[in-house]
Amino acid sequence: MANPAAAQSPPPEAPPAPVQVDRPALDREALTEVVNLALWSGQMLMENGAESQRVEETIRSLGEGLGCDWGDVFVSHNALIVSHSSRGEFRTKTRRIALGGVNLTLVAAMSHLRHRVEEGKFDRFLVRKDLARIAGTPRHYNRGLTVLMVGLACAAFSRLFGGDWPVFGVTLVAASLAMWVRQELALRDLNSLLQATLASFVAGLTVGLLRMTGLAFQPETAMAAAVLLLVPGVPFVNAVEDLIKGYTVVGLARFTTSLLIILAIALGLILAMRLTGIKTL
Amino acid sequence: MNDANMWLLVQNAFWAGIAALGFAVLFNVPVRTLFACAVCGAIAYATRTLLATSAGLSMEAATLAGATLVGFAAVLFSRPLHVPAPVLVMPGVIPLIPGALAFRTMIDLLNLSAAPAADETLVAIAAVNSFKTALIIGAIAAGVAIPSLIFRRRRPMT
Repeated sequence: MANPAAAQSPPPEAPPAPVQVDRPALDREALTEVVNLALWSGQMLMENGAESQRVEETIRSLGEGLGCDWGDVFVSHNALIVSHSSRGEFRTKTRRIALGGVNLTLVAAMSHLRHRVEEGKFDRFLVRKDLARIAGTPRHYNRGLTVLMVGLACAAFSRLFGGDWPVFGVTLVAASLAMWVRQELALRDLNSLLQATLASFVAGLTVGLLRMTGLAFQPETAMAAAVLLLVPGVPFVNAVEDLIKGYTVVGLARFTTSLLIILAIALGLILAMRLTGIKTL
Repeated sequence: MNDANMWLLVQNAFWAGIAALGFAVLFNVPVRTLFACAVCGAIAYATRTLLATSAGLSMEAATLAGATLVGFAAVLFSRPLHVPAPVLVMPGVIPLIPGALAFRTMIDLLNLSAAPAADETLVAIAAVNSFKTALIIGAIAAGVAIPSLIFRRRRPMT
């Protein structure tokens, strides 16, 4: 089990001793700012699809790189607690984590930032500037392009499931529509389970209605493929990775959330199947 | 393997690459990494199909092999592209996720309550499918984690 904390943290009873005495002590404001910056980076990582180990290591190395003697992190699935200390003076702060999406450009940018800090090229003022830049970076792909590409991805899945070209076309339409619905619901901050149910219902209903127009295709394949965009793939992979690396509670929480979303998708799908008279999947 | 099967494998690898590409856009990967994401998806799916059909491995074992290979490929590609490996891995393993099997399982489970009492075959099917789904997802994540456990580094990949 990977535990980078073991080597660095002092024994539990002793006050945090200065590990590196060559560096100057941070005053209270500076220490507060370092804790704030570390928390901010950790929060953004957690909310955009990073696994717990990456979050912990980033927070730790930001603290160390910005002049602290010692730091510790508590990672939970919906909150972070960070302590950093300098010469026996310490600051601890908690921050809530919202349920987020996936933004891998942000994860990559945070990795670069951490590298700069470790090389000593960034002080805390530059880090704050860079974090603000990262937080404000718009997505590379606009909504329309995302809808189209996600629809195409699901249509590609229908080919992998053995669907023919009519199935491909129906899946493209249904999945794109579901993606658009989910974007709209996400903008309105609807509960994520309800988002999944409604979007999968729309996908299923589209397939069913197109079937009713007399178009000849296998509706089962199209239905199964059109809701794949809703499957929480990244949380699932992160959940198991957290479990393997010793973040058991975070892993279990992520796994449970992902399972609930799958259940929510299945509910929407069943509703659409009953309404349009499609029996099995 | 005959030519027809080979052609099907190439086609499926192509579609798996398209699927990975679409999810790469959804996950907002840097534009310069889009192609590598698609290649990772194609590698993952082709490896699994090849091992499951030609080598006769179980779907679970073949998935583990495919995900592990993508994990290593991502580490390889991530250096010249200056991104951490998960940026390539996450879209890359998407084609392996047993989404259709998971839904079928969920729907079977939900239908259990509506089935006539003591329909043992339905229970058995639902149980086997649940277990299969869980194992395949576990195999994906374990395969992805293996390279990062081996190449544990003090400095981040940039």
